Amino acid sequence: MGGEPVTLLIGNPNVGKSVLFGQLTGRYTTVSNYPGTTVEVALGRHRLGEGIVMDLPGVSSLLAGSEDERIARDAVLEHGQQGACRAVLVCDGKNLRRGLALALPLAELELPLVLVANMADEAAARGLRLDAAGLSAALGVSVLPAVATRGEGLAPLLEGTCTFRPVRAAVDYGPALEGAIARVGTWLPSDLPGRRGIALLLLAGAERLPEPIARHAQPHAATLAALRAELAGALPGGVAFAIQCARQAAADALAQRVLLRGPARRRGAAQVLGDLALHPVWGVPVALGVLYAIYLFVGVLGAGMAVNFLERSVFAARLVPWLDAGLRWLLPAVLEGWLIGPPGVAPGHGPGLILGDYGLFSMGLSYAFAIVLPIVGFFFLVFSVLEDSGYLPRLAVLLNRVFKLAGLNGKAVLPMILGLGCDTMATMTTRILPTPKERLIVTLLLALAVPCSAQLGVVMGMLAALSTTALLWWLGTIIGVMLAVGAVAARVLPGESSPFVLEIPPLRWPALGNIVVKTLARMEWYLREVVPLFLLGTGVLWLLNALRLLGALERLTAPLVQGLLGLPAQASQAFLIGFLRRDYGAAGLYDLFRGALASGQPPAQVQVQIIVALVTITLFVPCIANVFMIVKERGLRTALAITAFIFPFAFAVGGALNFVLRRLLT
Amino acid sequence: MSAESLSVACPRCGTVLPLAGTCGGACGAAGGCALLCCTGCGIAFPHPRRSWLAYRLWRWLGKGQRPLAPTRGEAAGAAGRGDAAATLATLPVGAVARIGSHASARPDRAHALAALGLVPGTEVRLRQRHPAIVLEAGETVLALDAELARDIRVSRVDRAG
Repeated sequence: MGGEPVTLLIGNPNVGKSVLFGQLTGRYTTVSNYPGTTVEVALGRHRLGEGIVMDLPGVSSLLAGSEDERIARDAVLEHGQQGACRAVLVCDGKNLRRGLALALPLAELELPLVLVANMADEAAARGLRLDAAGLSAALGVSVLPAVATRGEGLAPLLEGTCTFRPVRAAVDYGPALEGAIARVGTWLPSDLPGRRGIALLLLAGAERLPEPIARHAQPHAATLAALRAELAGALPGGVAFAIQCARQAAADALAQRVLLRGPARRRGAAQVLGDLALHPVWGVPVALGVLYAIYLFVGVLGAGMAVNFLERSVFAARLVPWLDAGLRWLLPAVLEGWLIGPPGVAPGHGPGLILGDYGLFSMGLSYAFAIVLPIVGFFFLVFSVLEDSGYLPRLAVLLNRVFKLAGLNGKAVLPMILGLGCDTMATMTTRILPTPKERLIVTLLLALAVPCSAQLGVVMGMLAALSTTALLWWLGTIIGVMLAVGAVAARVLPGESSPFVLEIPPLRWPALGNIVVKTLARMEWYLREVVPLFLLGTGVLWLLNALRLLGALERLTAPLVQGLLGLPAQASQAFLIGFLRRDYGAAGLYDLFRGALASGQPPAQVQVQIIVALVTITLFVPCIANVFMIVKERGLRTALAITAFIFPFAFAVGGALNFVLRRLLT
Repeated sequence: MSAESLSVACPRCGTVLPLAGTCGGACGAAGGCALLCCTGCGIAFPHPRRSWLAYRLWRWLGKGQRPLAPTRGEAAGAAGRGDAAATLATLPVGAVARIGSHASARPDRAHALAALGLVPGTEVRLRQRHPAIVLEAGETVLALDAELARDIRVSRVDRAG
């Protein structure tokens, strides 16, 4: 990025940095109401042409206790060294003490900034009034009380009329630490900006500091270690703890001075509901109610009605015959046979490449747009509402104990639920988990047992048409497998799990605009991601069919698919395309069992087949995009190991279930 | 712990407890139950011999470091104002307390909690204890495991009871 000015958006988790990023750049990043939405640094151009804007992950300190904090710390250090760097410190106006605790290390790093006291509306509702002028005078920087979601109070920042200045405030860390800071300061060149802040980072034991800081500290490594050991003896709780306590105490004193407390308004419905959702008893019916609402919305409305309409009324009854007629009129006879089949064949049911049993349009696009897209759309919509409302962290608290069984804690709920949207995205979000072991377990469980929305929707749609018993068998098997594999992984894998700590944001009414934008952004992303893969998969099937290899493949996999799982031979096609995407495989199964499902109550034997097929495809290998993401996040070896475990495991579980269900249900 | 051994070390504080005879006597049952109470720190855990399976299960589930329930001694400590033994984990629901010191042997954990604003001197209100401990510190609502909460000493600032 050369000498271009950089604006860093820094702040605690869930204070609205991403909203502000959108306002500053005109670009959309995912905004939601739970901590840890930004796991990658988002980059955008300042709308006034003032260089680059970086949206950093939310942090509670810059002492790098987690991967997020390290990313934010390094961004501050690297860009801070290059001169033309400034920051917008975004604080939660009702929770100013936490934001101010971040202003102090930024003061020590001498980073020029503007402070945005966001969520001024929520602060006012709680009877808090910010003395912005007083805070501005105390820190020596511009302070903007704002409501970023409505664009209120941001004018000076958006119009580029406010000045960025370094914070003028100093923390006294006590004689022991101050002595050490002075000593470490002598190792650093006098023209290095932010020497005091860097000295504190070194003393706190910050690892993997970027160049040139690491180079300056390198020759003094042994002295630093001795100094740290000496300090640890003098400071109970450790150096980082002592630093954080001193900063928080200073921030608390300042917040007390500038935040005036008046009478709070009456608790709103959102607050009451938020407390109920967290309640040890009432939280359970709330959770069940939420799940049932999702099931009704996605399973019945999306997977049932919307899919029926799009598939039958739009694709089968209109688009396919129209395209058939149009192409027959346009194309010369030679191509006609190849692309849409010989004349006289029912539209969409010939050997053609575009229209046919394995046609790119009649199978590939109709799966993508008529079966999967409506389901995914409905799911993304409901998921966006959940995300923005702040319900998910409450669910994390409720499920904390359950996740403990799998060597995880409630924090893992966030990536797991996100996995119900898209496992690939969720695999990236595992970064919010504190230890490598937890990240690995969640990555494994996501790849194994968490169906993504597309697949879940198809599965739900089929189960909703079948019976509650079928739904319970599927759900029970998947959850049982997840907990069992998690429990074994937690005991087999080296490393440690972390205790559960999670900040609970207030429950909010989601903003309609954000929901719509987010849902559309995800649907667009989804289409870009899947349509090429769906077309590729269909092309492979068409080719195999044209070369008369599909039958051979079915015979080859017969012992597995027909023997072990007891499924019809054509099911192997669904598993084959399931290698590309699990949801595509599930859509194939939907197509396969469509007749049986339409007839109302299929015979018990077919019911067993459907449950076994759905369990197997749910556990089946992760989609290609997810495998690539696992390679990126966890390395090639882990990705191979996970895939090598899942493939036989999915069939083993399916086989066992087939064995059990045949005896129980038929 | 082999079946033949006569004593077991408390999984929390390491006090060696005899398996025979009466237990720590924190409760009225005085050894008649299948729990063993530590004389050192007062936690109760399944008796390794009287309930072999429960003991194994308890350790296997990773609860080896967690008391089954606060014992009478701990509960009494929590009720007293300014008692050094009171921790966030023993605070009754609704109580307001000031954070004293962190007793964690793990500096990274102490720092993580401090970064969330839980530093000595901070006033907190305990909202609920189950399924995780939920507390308010100013406008921050935090949920945390009892395992962490036990390391944070507090002193009550409201009137006890």
